[in-house]
Order: sequence, then C-alpha cells, then structure tokens
Amino acid sequence: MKKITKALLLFICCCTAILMVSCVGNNGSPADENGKQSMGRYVEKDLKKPREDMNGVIYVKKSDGSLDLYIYLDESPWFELYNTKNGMEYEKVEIPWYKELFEKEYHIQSIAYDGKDNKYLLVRAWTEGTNKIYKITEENTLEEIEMEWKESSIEDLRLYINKMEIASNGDLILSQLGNGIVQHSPEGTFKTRYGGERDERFAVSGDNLFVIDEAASQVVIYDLNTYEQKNTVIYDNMTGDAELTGGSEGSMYLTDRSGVYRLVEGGSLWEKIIEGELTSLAIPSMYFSGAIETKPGEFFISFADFESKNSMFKYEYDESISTIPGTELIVYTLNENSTLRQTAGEFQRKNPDTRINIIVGIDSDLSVTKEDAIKALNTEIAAGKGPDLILLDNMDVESYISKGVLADLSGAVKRVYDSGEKLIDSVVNVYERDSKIFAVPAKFTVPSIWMDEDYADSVKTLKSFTEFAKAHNELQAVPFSSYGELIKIFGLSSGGAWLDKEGSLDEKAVTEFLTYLKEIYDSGKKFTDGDEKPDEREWSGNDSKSRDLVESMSGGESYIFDWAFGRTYAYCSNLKSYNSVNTPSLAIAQRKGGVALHLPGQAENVFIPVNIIGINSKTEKFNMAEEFVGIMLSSEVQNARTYDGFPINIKSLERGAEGRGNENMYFGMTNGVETEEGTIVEELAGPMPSAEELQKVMELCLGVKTPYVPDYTLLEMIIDETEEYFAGNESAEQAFSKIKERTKLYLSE
Amino acid sequence: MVPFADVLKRSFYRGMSDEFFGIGNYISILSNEAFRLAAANTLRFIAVCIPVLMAFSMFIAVIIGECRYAENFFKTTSLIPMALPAASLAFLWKAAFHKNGLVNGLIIYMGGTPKDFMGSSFAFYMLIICYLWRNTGYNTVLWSASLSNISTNLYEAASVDGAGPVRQFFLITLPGIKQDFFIIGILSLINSFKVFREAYLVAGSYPHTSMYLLQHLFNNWFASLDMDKLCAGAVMTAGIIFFLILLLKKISGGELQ
Repeated sequence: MKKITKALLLFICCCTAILMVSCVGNNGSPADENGKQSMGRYVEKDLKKPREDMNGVIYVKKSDGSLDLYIYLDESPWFELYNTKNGMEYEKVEIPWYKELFEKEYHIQSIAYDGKDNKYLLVRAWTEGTNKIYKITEENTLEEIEMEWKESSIEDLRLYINKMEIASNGDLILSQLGNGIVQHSPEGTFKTRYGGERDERFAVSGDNLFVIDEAASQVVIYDLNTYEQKNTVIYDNMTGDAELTGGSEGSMYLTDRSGVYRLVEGGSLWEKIIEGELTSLAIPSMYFSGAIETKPGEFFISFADFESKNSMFKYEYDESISTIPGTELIVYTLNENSTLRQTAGEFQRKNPDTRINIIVGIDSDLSVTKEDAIKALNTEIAAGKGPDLILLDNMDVESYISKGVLADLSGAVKRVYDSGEKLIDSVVNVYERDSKIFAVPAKFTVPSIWMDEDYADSVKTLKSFTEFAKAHNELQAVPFSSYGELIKIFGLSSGGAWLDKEGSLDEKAVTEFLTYLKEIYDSGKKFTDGDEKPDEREWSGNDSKSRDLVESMSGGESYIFDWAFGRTYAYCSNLKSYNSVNTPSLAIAQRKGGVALHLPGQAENVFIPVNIIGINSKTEKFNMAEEFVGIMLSSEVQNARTYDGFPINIKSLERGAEGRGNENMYFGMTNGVETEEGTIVEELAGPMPSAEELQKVMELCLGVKTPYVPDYTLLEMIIDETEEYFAGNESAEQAFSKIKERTKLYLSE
Repeated sequence: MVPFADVLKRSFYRGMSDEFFGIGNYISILSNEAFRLAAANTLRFIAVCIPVLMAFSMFIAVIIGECRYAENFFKTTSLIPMALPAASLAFLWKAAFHKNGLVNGLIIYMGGTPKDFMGSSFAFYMLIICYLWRNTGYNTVLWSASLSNISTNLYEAASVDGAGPVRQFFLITLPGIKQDFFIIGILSLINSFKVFREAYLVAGSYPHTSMYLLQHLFNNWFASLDMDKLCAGAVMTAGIIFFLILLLKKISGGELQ
C-alpha cells in the first residue's frame, strides 16, 4: 500500500513539474510553432525636414518613387518645392508658376500628379468665391481647366473642394463637400458622382476608386471606367481619422491610429503591415496623412500637431528585429485616456524595442462595469502580478497606497525636476506620504466660478458667497434647477472638508454646508421650474452617469447662456483645459466683463487631480516604469493638447496660455430660449480666447492649494437624504442625522 | 484546501504585505461596525429563512403528495422560479417595489400612502420573500423525493390501527424523512447565500442597512483591496458555517464523521 502511495505521489509530482515547465512563458516574445521567434517589422525613422519653419506641407509622389514636398512658409517666398533625393536628401526645385498665383492671392489647396508627372493644382480663389483647377504646362505656365461644375441644391459647392487626385486615364477625381466624390475628364467635363453627400475621403489606384463609408464601417470600391460599384470591404472600427492612399498594382492603403493596412486589388481582407501602437500614429495629439508607398517596403507618413508643426517619418522594413518587441510594459487604465496614449507614443519613440501594452478595463463593447474591472485588476494584484503601471483615475488611490500596492516614485519625480522641468508642487505632492510619492497626477482640473470682477471679494468663501446670493436674489447667483445640482457644484469645493481624521463625517462641516446651500437654494429657487427632486433616471446607481453629471457641473455649457445674457450672476464650470475657456470667453465678450475665480467652498482653491499614475510595487520593470512616469510629466507629453486636464508641468502650462494655434480661429454656439413671444435664439460667437484671458486662467491654475477627489457615492447619498431638508420639512441637524445613518456603512467599511 | 490555506495565512498578515499581524485583523473586523451589522443581518436572515423554508416546503410537499393526480405538474412548475435568471428577477423586483413602482401605484390608487420599500426596514422582508419564492419549489421537490421513499404500507397499517393524518405525519412521515433533513438543510443554507445576487442587482453595493449582508461587505472589501479584513472575515464565516453544519447534523440525528 505504501509503495502504491509513493508511486502515486511521484506521479503527481512529475505531472506537476511537466505542467509548470510547459506553463513557463517566453516573456511575451512571439514564437511560431517551432519555437522560433517571428522576425521583421516596419521601423519608424524621423526624417530631416527641408526647412524648420514649415507651416503646412503638400506631399506628392512622383513616378520615380521620390516625393515632392510643397511647403508653405510664414514669410517670403511663402511657398517652396523640395524633392526627396535618395530618400533622405532634399533638392530645391524652382516653381516659376507660383508667382502668378501669389499675385492673384490664390491659395493652393491640393496638388496631384498623373502617371507622367504632369502637375495639377487645385486652388481656392477667395475673392471670386470658387475653386479653380490648373494644369502646369511643359513651359511651366498655368493653364486653367474649364470645369463643368454640377452644383447640388447647396449653393456654390465649388468653394468646398478639398482633395484632388488624377486617375490612370487622366480623369480628375475631386471630393466636393456636400456633393460626394465627382469625376471630371481632363478637359473638365463632368462625368459622374460617387457615394453619398457626406463621403469625402477617397483614394485612386489603377482603375479603381476607393471611398470610405464611415457610417457603414466599410470601403466602397468603384470602377472609374464603368462608374459602377465593384465591391465593398468591411473595416471594423472605422474612425473619422482614417485615411486612404493608393498603392502599387491596384492596391490600397488605409491608415488610422491602429496602423497601416493593405488591401490588394480584388482582395477582401485587410493585411496589417505597420503596427500603430509601435509608431507615432498612436499619439492622439498628432494628426497624420495617409501612408504613401514610396517604393516596395518603404512608406512615408507626415504628421502635424494643433499648432501646425510638421514632422515626417519614414517606415522601413527591418528583418533583423522581432515582429513584436521582446519587452513589454503593461499599463492599466479603467477608461481610455489620451494622455496615457500620448505618453506611450513618446515612450515608444525613445524605446523602439519595448512595447507599451495599454489595457483598458472598461470595455463598452463587453459590458464590463467599473466594479467588474476593478475586481479583475485586484485579483491580479492580490496574486502578486498585475500591470507594471496603473492609471488610478476613479480608483481608491488611498487604499492602494495603504495596502502597499504602489511603489515610491519620488526618484522619477526628482529626475524630472533635475532635467530642468518645473512642476506645480501642490499637485505633485498630493499622494506624498512620509516623504515618499506613491502616485502623481499628470493633470488636474479646477472647479471655478465665472463672474464680474467687481464681485470677486464675494466668492472668497462659501459663507461670503451665500451672503452675496441672499443680497442679490433678483437673479440666481449660480444657475441651477434642483438642490441636487447645487450639492454637486459646491460639493467639489467643499467635499474635502467633510471627513475627519478617522474618516467619519464632520457634523459641523456638513451641517454648515447644508445651511449655506439651503440659503443659496432659497434665494434662487423661484427661478427654477419647481422640480425640487434630482432626476431619478440620473441617479439609478450608474456610477459613470453620476460622475459625468458632477464633472459637467450642473447642466454643463447650456447654462453659459444664462450668465452671458444676464439671467444669473455667475457661471460654474470645472475647467479641464484652456479649451474650457472658449465658451466663457464668448460670454465675457457678450456681457462685457467677467473673470474666472476659484469656486467658493469650505476648502481653499480646490483642484481635482486627474491622470494619476502609479507604479505597481511588484513590477520587475521598475526602471522602465519610472522612465514612463518621467515622460508623462515631461513637457513633450504635457504640451500636447489632449483636453483632459491642465498640465502640471509649468512650462507646458505657460505654453498653453500663449494660445498658439488660436489665431484666426472663430467659433460660435446658439441656444433657444422659450419666452411668451415665442422662441428666441441666442448666439455666442467670436474669436478664440485672447492670451490675456488664458494668462488669468493660468494664474488660477498656479494658485491651486487643496486637492479633492470627488466621492460620487457619498455625494449621491447626501443628495438622496436631503430632499426633505431642501423642501423645508427638516432642520439641518435632522438632515445630517439621516446622512450619517445612510453613510455609516460606507464610511465604516 | 490550498486556497483556503492561503486565505487563512493572509488573515494573519497586514494588508498585502508580508508583515505578520497576529489576530489584529480579527480584532479589527470585530470592532468594525459594518462587519457587525452585516454578520447580524446574515445570521438573522439564515435564522428566519431556513426554518421557514424547510417547514413550508415540507408542508407543500406533503400536500402535493396527497394530490396524486397532479403531482408531476406541481413538481415541474415549482422549479420555474429557480430557472429564472437573477437579472430578470431583479428587474421585476425593481419594477414592483421601486418608489414609483407598481405596488406603490396600486397603494396610491387605493387611497393609501406610498412606501419606500427598498429604503426602509421592509427591504429585509423583501429579501426573505424573494428567497422563499425562489427556493420553495426546489425544496419541495427534494422533500417529495424523500417522502416517496416511505412505504405506503406503513400509512395503510396506521389507518387500520385508527391513526389520523396528523398522528401519521408525526409518527411515520417525520421519522421517515429525518435522514434527508441534513442534506436539504445544507442545500437551503447554500442557497441562502445566493440571494445576494438579487439584493446586489436591486440595491447595489450599499443597500438599506436591513439588507446589508456579509456578501455586500466582502464584495466592497475586495473592490478596495482590503484583503486582510476580507480573509479574516472569510475565515470567521467559514467557522460559523461549519458550526451550523454540525448543528444541522446533530438535529438530523446523524453521526459526526
């Protein structure tokens, strides 16, 4: 019997050992069935620019595979042409025909070559209100093509032609906004129209026209000779930034953030040839052109940022490196995050042999809730694994710190300071414990109130603002339609004062908050529609919904009209970036005055940390993770306009306040107001905020003192339990008792 | 046993670290108001539900046993509540007992004052009703199977001797099904923990205090990575369940193995 038992034990041990050996991974390196690592991938190379002061470029491929670069300049000679010789060198080419266009103040929109490198120009003639198409003759003169424009019901569509290509038979293919894709003969005769009115992204290859149909997530293929639709090819995850370019032998390339895909002539399957995650394509602040195949195995993609700063990259196939980088840095985030993508892109550029794997926990396609995602993450962490870095937004950061999940990253922060960068100390140190920094917010938002500068002294504290609201009750002090909205607004600037050191509710602070809010509510209640209850549908336990409501701050931008047109004294907003200043700036122009101030509350100069990054204390790639954090805080990432918070990097904050790229930009919005006479349409329109306005917002950002991470569960409970109080049926003390009872479990857990 | 051993080990360590904390976690959770309330609610729920369910389902089984012509029909239909998905049940529950739900609509129609069923102590009784409704049919089938093992000869002999239905129940039926009491009791206990699904789907992580169960607490502790407290609580709960099993075994008259 003992022998049998021993044999059995030995057998189990052997099985376990075999199982464990077979389970040992190869560190994520891809390998084929023979155990060999897959080799070869396209590698991104930064291309030298012909000039540093480029202000826009038009790229055209010549028949010999070289590229012609037409460059716009901010000063004379305004427009130049360079040709890429040998791939990396540039040769300047004279363009005598440009002088005539310059004198006529025509703007070149698009340039296309036919198979024999004959040049065609699409120009915008602003003064004449139309587009013109020229062919460059062999004598280098302009020869206008008399176009037979076929207008639709929309007047003067000829002004809105934005792209031109030349088909193999010499026909002109144009995308005309609101009129689809049109085909004209080389002499300008109208031939046909393709696609719907909204279709405008296309490419020509061989005898085929490829048109993106974004709504149907497909590319539609037409025959340019018969004008018939030949085929459709489904492309899942079609986005608004996907671009098409023609390739050799009738193939076509589709470029989007996920990479470059090839569709061969007659094919129906997409072949991914460049992995977007490993290139600059994945960087959200970079706008890209379609990939141009300059020669077999070589591609060219140009990029531009919001400030029209251009960069160019060449992609060459390298057989000597692995298909997927051998090292992987895993970054976890609950929700998709632009700053994280931006950082991953910059990190990837500096470390081409490391792959950043961003895991997004809440995938809307899979119906995963926030709680499910956090549980899955916690399971991994509890097992001693988990990601290398965690973006801690909407997670319990304090809990992770106290459980030892997060590593000290003060070293990474110090290196950022040592490199000459300056960070906002009050934001950097939010999660500093015992001289160790366990997490760093890469961005922050600022709850603010917009009102006349004359009243600035009235918004220092919640008490003084309450006095102001009572004394000026002929209007609402801030726009609101229910008491719940008021709690959501001022909860942001007061919530940090509600809990004592033991984590229990501070009776004095909460009662005081409720008392002030009731007075503000009573002074402005008569302007509401009488619906005192928060909308039940909005509070159905859906956390993301509640969060959106809090973040959008009471009705969002619809209330800006109330302030702009004098129906309220102030407007509240959670400033997330300089972009958030756009609409208040228009309101200031409308009402001729106003300034952003810190939202009054029980805490001083409150800010909300966002994009909070932490390193898993169990990571084996700590140095790489530190480098990632360093890049995230550096100006190269913080300069990018991702609109998800103000940068904590002071240089980037200052740069944003310069308002580069805002020049000559206008925008507007309208609002319908119901009156006794009918509906009045109010309009706010004008230029982007001035540098002076942005400077004031920057000063507001530099003055932040108190961090507060909104506790949506607590806010929901308080709103639920104060309905009777705001209806006047209970005292503040009674309301507090109910809140205390309701929150007892939540806070004592 | 390996996962349980890991949980047992973690219950003596602080947080996620390797720092030995002795019985600190146990002291911590025993002084934790949320744990005490959750444990009390869970025990109260078990103490009320299981005896009621066992007795009620046994009663139904005996009645069905008497209605021989429709026995199979009742046995089949009684399992329907068990087959309903928890999400559907939660939806029905919400539709019926929400502040603006069907029941309050009926109350208002009849001139009464609406009641906040889910936001008051009534929520606990809602939970009990839900549990009984869902599990009675299943237990009835189990009892029916047990009853079918009793020879009909015994009842015929008792009738000949002049014993009435009540006397037959206590002297023949009860002793006859006593050996199955233990296993049905265990299954009822296990099913009582499943009521959390409905409670969670209806009222979320923080329901009214009367229906706040240990599962809510453990769920929330897991979400906030309070593994030390979670493990200590799990070990204590496992101990209590083991005690309850022993108690059931004792009641059913079985020998402890």
